[in-house]
Amino acid sequence: MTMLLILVPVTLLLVGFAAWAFFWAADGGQFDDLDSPALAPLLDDQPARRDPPA
Amino acid sequence: MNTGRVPCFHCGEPAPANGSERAFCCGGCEAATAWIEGAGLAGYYRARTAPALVPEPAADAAFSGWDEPAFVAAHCSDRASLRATTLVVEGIRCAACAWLIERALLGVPGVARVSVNAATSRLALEFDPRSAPLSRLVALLARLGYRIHCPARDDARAAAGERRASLKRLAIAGLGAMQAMMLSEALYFGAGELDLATRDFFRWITFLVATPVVFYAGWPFLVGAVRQLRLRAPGMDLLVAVSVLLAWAASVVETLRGGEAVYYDAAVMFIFFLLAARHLETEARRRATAALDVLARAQPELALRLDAAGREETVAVSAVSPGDRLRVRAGSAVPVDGVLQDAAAELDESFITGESRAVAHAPGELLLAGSIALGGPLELRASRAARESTIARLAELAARAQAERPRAARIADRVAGVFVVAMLVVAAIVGLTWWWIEPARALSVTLAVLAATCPCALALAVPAAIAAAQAAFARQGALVLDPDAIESLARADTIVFDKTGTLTTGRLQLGALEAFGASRGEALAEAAALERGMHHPLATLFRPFDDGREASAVHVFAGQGIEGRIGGMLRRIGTRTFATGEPRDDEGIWLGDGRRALARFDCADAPRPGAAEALAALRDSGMVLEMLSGDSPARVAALASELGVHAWRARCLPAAKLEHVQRLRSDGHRVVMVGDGVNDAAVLAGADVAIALADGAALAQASASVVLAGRDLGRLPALIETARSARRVMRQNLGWAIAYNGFALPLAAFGFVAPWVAALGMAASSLVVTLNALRLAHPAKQRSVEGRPEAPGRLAGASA
Repeated sequence: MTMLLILVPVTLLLVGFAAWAFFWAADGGQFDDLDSPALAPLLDDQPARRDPPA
Repeated sequence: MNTGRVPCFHCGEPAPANGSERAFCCGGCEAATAWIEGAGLAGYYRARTAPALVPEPAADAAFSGWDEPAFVAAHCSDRASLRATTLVVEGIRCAACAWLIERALLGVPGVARVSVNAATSRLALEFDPRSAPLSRLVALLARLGYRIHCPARDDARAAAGERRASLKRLAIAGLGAMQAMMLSEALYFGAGELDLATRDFFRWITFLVATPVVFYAGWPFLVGAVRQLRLRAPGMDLLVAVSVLLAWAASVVETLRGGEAVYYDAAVMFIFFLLAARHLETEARRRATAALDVLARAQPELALRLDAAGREETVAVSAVSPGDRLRVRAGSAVPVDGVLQDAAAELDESFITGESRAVAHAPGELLLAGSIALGGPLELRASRAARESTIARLAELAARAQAERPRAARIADRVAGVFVVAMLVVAAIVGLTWWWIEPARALSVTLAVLAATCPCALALAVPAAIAAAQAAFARQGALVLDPDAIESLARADTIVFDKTGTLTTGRLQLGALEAFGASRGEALAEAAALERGMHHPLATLFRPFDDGREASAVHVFAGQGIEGRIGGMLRRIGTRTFATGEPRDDEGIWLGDGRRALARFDCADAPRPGAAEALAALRDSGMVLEMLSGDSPARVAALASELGVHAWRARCLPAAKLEHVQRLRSDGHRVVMVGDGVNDAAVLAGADVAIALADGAALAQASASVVLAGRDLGRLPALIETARSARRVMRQNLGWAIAYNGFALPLAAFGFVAPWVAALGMAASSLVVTLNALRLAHPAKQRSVEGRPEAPGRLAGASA
């Protein structure tokens, strides 16, 4: 049972870390747009290098 | 679709086939594709899921307003050499658009940061105004087919903040609930084996994880409960708060004194599931609003006002008052409703019609705020202030319809309010009874009763379904202006159509012309003078023959024709009886002086493409179809048999149309009236549900409850189907919620249910109700009746 005295606080720490990580991600705007980033890996990454059409 | 025409490679509009794999409808699309591919961004075409908008050619100079100090002061913030701003992009149809915009802008030297949110159509930019002026960036996007607006109100940031807060609460509730459940499991099943010290240790840990859930995640419920108490309007929040606080406080007391049982798990689970249901409902609502956003933002923030000397000054649109002279540059939007001066102009009214085509306007005609000037700059005299302009009013109506709760929801609210008080009383009685019989179980049973009987599902049943249905409507290009419209639409059994402009294209073609006593040219010119400035489709027919002669004392006789004086002579155009005094009527349009005929025009009007299929689908769904028209019986009968309309009436004046609709309603029918909103505003107002096919002129006086963008009748059957499903879902939800409460109450009162089971059951019931409603927002891939893939209008662009 003494194992519990170590494991349970460890769990709490992990939960606390998870909550902190989620808050950090939410405040960073990670969940604001769930549609467009899904496409990012499918598309090439170079910025356009040309003048606009006249 | 005609043979020899294929969809344009860029925008999907019909384009002449040229034998090669790619065809373009216009030079603008071709240039846009060439630029996109030349810039190495061809991936856009592979990844996109919806065609682009037609790009509009315009000179850079047309966009110089974006660099004006007045705009910069209001919407930009400067940091060192960089300038930051947030703009609204119209025309984002799928996620690939967001990618294309980002890549295109990042390619311009001087642009430091670009971020596009496809869900809210927002573009956040940081750029160096010296090397990359905003006007150039906006011009570049315009050439790719995106229109940029400035955010009218900065509610987007507030909405995003709310969403983040809601997600954080949900996360805390989820994490806390999982931990609390795990620990409670040990307490329940290990009850016999745990020594007291370990049990208390577990209880204190549960206290640690449950407390943030109750006071952080559950904060909205606590705040809501206080508000409801202060307003003396007991509601769901009060019951939730009472149950949760009671469970939490009792558990703290039990933990401190080492009592029988703790109820942390019931409290946290209740909060978690209720928050989840609430979050889903808010999301459905947000999707419905996103479509509105673009509409609200089509009206520009700045206007170019001309002073007496004709000098331009840039002013905020709110400073424009009726009577001001304004200039609109090519490519920019009309700031307020106003009357076109000087020269004829072409405008793009796609912000409301969803169709990107040029609409010609003659001087003296009303231009709607939000229409885009094509061709050259134009001048107008403001006739309404910014807030009173059609588009602002429409956006406000739609926003109010979304914020307002429909009748069914208000009833459910009231029932839930009474229910809450009743349940608090029942819980108290049950608690006291158990206290008398078996004091040890009194608390646990009371908690179970409170949790099991919370009318959360009852309160969510209707609003969730309405929000989801509104989102589905927006996706199909329909704007809901009346919160009760969806329910009324579901109950409708009769659809009454206006003929001209609704079932027919309204684009008449002039056929045979007989002139009696006047030359043909003379007759046409006189007809044109009389019809000048009219919005009826007939008027456009004569426009090419307008030689500028003036008609004075012009008077419109609804359903009969127009009277005026030309060169001092009385002239009438309209039905034979009206124009010539001849009692025998026929289907021609007659020009006369009231006694004598001068000319007879024949004109034909083709049924709208897809109308027959749409009407067949409506007939199959059990609707009775009727048609009302001011036209002659012969033509109405021909169209009625062609389209398969059940009943029709010809030569109807608006008053007769209204009377007919009212008679149908008094006979117990539920009537949907479909019209173009121009000549039938009163009739629309008299029906249970009025659907206006959106058109620039129509909206100025629309009294519709639903506005259908794009004049596409093919969407009508799908809308009615959505409304009916919404009603079905509402009934299922209400039935489920009532059955659940009725079933759970006796079980809980007699002590058969543990508090955590009751909490789980109730919260899961709310979740079931919400998920059931969300089925509406994601309809199975529907194809419109015309057989072409779903093509939502601009209104729906943002939610795509």
